[in-house]
Amino acid sequence: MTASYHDQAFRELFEEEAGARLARLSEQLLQLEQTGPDADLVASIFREAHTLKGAAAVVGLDDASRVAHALEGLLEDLRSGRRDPSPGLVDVALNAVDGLASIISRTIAGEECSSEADALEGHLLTWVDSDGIAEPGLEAALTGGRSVSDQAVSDHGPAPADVATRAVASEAVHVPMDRLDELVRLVGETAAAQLRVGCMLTERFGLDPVSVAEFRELSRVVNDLQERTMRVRMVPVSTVTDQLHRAVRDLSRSLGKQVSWEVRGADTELDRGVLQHLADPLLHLVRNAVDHGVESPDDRVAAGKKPQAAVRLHAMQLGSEVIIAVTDDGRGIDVQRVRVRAARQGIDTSGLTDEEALFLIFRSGLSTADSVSEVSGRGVGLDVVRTSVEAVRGRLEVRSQPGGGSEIRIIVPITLAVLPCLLVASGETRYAIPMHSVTVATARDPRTAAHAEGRPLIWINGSTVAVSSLQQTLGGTDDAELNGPVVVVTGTARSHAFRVDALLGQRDVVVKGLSRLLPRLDVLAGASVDPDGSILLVLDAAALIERARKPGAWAGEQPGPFQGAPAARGSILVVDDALTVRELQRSILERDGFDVRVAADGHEALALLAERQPDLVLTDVEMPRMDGFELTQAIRSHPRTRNLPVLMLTSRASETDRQRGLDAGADGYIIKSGFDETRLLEAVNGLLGRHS
Amino acid sequence: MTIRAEVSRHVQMDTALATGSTSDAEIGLVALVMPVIEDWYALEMSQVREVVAAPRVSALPAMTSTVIGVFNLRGEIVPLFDTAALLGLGTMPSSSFAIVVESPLGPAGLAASGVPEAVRFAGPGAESETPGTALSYALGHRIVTLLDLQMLLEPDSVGAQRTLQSGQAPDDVK
Repeated sequence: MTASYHDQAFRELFEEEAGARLARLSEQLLQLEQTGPDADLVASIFREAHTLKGAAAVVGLDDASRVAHALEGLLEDLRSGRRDPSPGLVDVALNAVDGLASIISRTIAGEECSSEADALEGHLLTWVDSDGIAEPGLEAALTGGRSVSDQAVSDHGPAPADVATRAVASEAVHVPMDRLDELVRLVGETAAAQLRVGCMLTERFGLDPVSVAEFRELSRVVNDLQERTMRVRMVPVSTVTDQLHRAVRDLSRSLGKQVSWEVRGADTELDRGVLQHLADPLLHLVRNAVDHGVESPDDRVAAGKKPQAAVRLHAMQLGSEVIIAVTDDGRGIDVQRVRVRAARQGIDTSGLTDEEALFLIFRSGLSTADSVSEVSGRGVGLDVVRTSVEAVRGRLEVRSQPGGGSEIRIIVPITLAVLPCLLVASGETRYAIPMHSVTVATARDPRTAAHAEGRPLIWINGSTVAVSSLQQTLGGTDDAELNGPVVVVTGTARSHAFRVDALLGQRDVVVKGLSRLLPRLDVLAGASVDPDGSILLVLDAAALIERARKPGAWAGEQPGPFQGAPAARGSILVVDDALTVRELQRSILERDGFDVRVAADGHEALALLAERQPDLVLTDVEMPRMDGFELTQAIRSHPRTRNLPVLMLTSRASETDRQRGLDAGADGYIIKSGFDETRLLEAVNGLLGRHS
Repeated sequence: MTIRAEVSRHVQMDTALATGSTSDAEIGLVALVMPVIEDWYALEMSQVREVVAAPRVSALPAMTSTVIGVFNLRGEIVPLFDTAALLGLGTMPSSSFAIVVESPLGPAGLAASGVPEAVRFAGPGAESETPGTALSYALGHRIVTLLDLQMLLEPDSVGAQRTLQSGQAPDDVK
């Protein structure tokens, strides 16, 4: 096993997960004692112990794993019906749960727990080997007459080192993102309802809402609620900087370069969903900086620079946006070379300023690298960076100084859940345009109109901007908006003006994603339900500009809903009910360049498979609702997924289980307790026909 | 609203029937039959969440002809599909009713041209030919084709429909 498996972060994640599982185990054991034999309940208890065993082994907590294994043996007797859930057996199982909690927390704190684990394991094994009749003397012999949990109290501090108890008392609670999203949505709708009440006060009673004390109080509380709810979703940029640091270190060492890494503003917070989308683009930018931006030490010295280069990440909040800049002090981007490469692709750059030409590096297939390396230089990557940034309604800026280095800035809204928007009318439809992309909204002034190269333009602040009808851009034909106001929006690379019928005002919009059943439509960022029940469509500025500038291209070029973004090495669906194992596998695979999605059981996996097919499925066996065997059979029985490689990763080590997995249609079978990063990647790459 | 309530009553009644202790084989298949242009199609009652009369639909710009738009179902934004277009039978001139079903990717509405009705198919069905359908049944003088919901709403099927009909895309900006 490599050291990464035992990273404190993963162990702490496991500790939290184990706390929740042990709490459930205790609760279910007590329930079992009350209800008597119950196959479903026993199966659930067994699964908790089994999952705990596997996850403990994966993070290197071998003492905890073997105790969980022994507990699993005891529970297997229950599952097979060899024993009934007698109070004596429940006592033993609960003591094991207490002991596991103690062992887990103490091991993670750096203590040695082998002897305690030996005692617990021996106790459990003795029970398994016995005829099921309680042996009162045995526990006393092992614990000196005290229960294991009592022992933990007296030997290891004043509070019971019970992870289960701590999970309840902990100051942090893990909440699924969808529940937070739902909370944010409901708070948003509360705010919308509050606005309606304000309107009603004016319309029905002729009152200015601000003059009503109760309404002012309601507004204050709703605003506070909205702000605090949004804060719940925020995470600091430091969440992703560790892996960037690691990438800089590993890559610079492999390339023989000297590179220092510096982070500023790591505590800048933004929406977790936004940051998740930026993790890969940031990794790519950082790797690009080290691989192509930074020179070798000799070249740097020859250029009068220090041999050690610097790659920096600087994050800061500016209004409702966060700017993350990746900077290097390397050779900079050669804009002339960008122009040459672009010309080879048939792009006319003669009318572009240097700044505009630099943006061409974000086009697919355009790389200025001299050679293709494992890291970069294939011209794929920066276009994916752009796509990812645009997916979270962000934009990119690039600056470069020949010989002095370059800086790429990612500018994203702090959150996607509530967006300040400009509301416009076009045709018979109202649209919302996120304010962060709106540069100017103005009445049409014939004096600012111009025309060149067959298309209408408009003068804005001394520059011309192409102008289109919003309705026509969105597929309509009515020209009623010819004399309507103009909204200038700015996307990733450029600005564009759109004529609309009317400007309706500005307000915060709670944005919901559109159904995954719908074909993906880039120009729509989402939708919102208005207080009157109607649906407001939210536009995506960058896609709108793209569409307006590429006549005839969109019908054939729009990516379908089920085509994933191109990944560097392939996409993998990880299926495991253990959070720690899932995240560990994700970490390993993403570090190796895979695009990873995760599911907690077979049902979730099938839903994700229906949405987009990965290149490989990596699945656990023992899972709630639908286990790995059933999932594999379901994959093999569907024509679309019949040939999808499936790799099983499980703590079920018996030859029978292995054979059952292969019979179900798995292409490979790895035992968790014996797996390491290299072996996992070898198995994955082997099934994908690639070299590690 | 009266129609909606009446349909809902039928749906609830027959859903209860379908989920009762009597086996399907004994009572026949309980289904919701809906008119789609000139033909009749049906969904297994257990797949139907509810029926919405005259949904207030917001059209989506530049969308494939299989998608009529989205509507608000108690705060949920639900896509409404053109049942005829999904079956490759052209597009429906009107969608008076939305049959709301649950799919692995979320709720979906299937458009119906007229009032749906709850029925019970007594005999075995015959093989149907159209992709997205399962079996055909005789119901009096009518031939009713049972939809295969999973196949009908499969992402690939919707995507394929879109590709086939992309010629109907509006003109682009000059």
